[in-house]
Amino acid sequence: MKKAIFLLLILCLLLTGCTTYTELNDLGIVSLLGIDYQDHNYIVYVSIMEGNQDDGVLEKDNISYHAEAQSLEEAFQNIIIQSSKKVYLSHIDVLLLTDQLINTKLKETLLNFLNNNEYRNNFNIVSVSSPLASFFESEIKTDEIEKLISINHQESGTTQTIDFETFFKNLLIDQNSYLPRISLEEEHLIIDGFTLKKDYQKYQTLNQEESILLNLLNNQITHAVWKNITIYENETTIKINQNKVTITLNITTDDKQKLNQKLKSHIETFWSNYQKQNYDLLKLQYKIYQNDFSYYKTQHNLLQKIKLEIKLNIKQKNNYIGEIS
Amino acid sequence: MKNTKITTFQYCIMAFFLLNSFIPLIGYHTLTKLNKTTSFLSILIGCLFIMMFIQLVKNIFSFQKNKTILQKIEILFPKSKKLILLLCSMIMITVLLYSLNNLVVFINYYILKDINLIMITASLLLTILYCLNKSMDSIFRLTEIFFYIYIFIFLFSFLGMGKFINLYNVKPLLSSSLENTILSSLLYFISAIIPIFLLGIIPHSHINFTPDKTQQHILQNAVKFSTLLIFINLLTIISTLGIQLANIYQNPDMILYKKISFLNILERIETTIAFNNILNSFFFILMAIYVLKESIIKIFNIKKEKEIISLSLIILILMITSTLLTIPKNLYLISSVLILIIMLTMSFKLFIGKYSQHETN
Repeated sequence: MKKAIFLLLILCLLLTGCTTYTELNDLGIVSLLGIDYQDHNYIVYVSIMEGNQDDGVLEKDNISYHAEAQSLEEAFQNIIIQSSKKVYLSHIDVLLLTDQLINTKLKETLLNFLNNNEYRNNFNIVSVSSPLASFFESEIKTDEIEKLISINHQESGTTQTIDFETFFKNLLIDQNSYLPRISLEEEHLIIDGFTLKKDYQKYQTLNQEESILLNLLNNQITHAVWKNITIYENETTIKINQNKVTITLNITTDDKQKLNQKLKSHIETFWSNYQKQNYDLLKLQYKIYQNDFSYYKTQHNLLQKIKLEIKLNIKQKNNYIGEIS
Repeated sequence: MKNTKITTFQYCIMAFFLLNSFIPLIGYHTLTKLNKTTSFLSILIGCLFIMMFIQLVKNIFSFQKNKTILQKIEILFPKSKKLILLLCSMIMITVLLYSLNNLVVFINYYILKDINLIMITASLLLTILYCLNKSMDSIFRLTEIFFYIYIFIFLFSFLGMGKFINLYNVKPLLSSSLENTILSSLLYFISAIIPIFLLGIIPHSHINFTPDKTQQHILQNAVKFSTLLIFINLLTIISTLGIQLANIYQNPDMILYKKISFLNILERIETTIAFNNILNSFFFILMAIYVLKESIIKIFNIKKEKEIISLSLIILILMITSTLLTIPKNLYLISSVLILIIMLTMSFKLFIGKYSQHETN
């Protein structure tokens, strides 16, 4: 009996599970995170969700903090100093990155996210063209950014939701990737198309028309208006035979004739422009690698050898209203 | 060890858990880094190598059926038995330090972030000490219970990951060189050597075999089952993450578990699913400590009543050294190769027929 009590007493010393616990109310849940890089310093902005119990009613509020330091870890540390809550990064929904950060410290930032187990890989990344401070000073909420992108993805086809994992995977394939781009004008969020990344740096930006073309080719359009022509449905298929790539677009539109005249030439010009710049916009080299590895390994400078053929299969949307005389 | 019988199913499950130690000790990322999407083929070739190896060393299992593998070493190498047992102990210590460190870091990184490493090591080793204090029969019953939990978690996680699977990511299937394919197959094969050696600690006569089944048949079934599970896991990892991301993470399976969400209600369950990863290492460490204890008892001729003291001492030494020392993966692989050499030498000695018929039955 004495032995058992002695053993229990020793075991009590090992029961440390509850010593480092954090109350839910003491957690500062970060939903929006923004990172900038200026004058050799990282500037981190966080929007922390806070819930206040007022007369038994829970009121949610967002409080913003920012801090700067030479390393990301240090910058986060400086935020913790300002907050009375434990900064909890596991619930990040959106990460905003400035052009300056993308051009100088994109790789390091991504590695920081990979190394920190607290993050999940399902948060969305957005590139911003306005100063980061303006987003947090205007108290822009995560929901607003998420909805802006997802609704425009569905309705205007000018953007696309891209999560951390997709972005990073695309960079790992050939160091090229793209991100949705937004800006803030007079406290209103605006979609600015896409920004293209090359070699872990900002390469170019796509305007709204080009963004629709890119989404069309990537089978990401459900509804869009391109050059005053409404696209109602689209299904894109890609067939690869060595260096011959055939992209078939099955589109339903309200103006079949106009779309037939314009779309093919625009897509061909759009693709060939980037092909000349040695930028594989559609990751066709990787698609050839996956489909025909024996052909792929015998080729050098494959991108320049790719012959793209665009096939349009356009359907006219039924119009139930008669002509007005 | 009490003289109670272990069922063939329990023996098969223990073999399954031990063979699964490939996942924590070598890892999917080692294969995918070396052999990209052709890793599937390496697993299948590696499985064939293991089957051939079991066939090759089956005479060790059928020799002196009531003896453990350590006793067989004593019989086969009467002049150098102490030296070989000492080598086995050293190998077990290396393997234990490597696997223990791996498991503790895994738990600390993914599950108990704020807990000190020594606390995790202590609680793990004390559980193992408690288990080892029971009979082997109880330990094998424990594996049976955990097997059902393991399969439930596996099916549950597979169901949750189903929607993320994109088989296009597996292409191209044959993208690696022959050398890399053979090398990664050998890595998979090497990971099975120590588990097979550890299983040798259970004498054939302690297992309740049906007349048509022998130890090597059960082992081969466990190898097939374990390979199937590892194959499915690897397929899920590559088809979900793609080969580029699968290469980046040391535990790509944990990244997959993070994605699991049932109707947006049941999510963030990765730490619960990670229990399977812990089980794979747990039984490996448990059996390795048992073999280490048995070999130390033989080397120093320790009496039966002092077994628990020696076991506690081993656990204490492991607890201290595992926090101070980090064993590199290469040393673990070298240890496996040394065990392979010992087993092949034993098999060869038996093959050249120096031993009379009554000894092999």
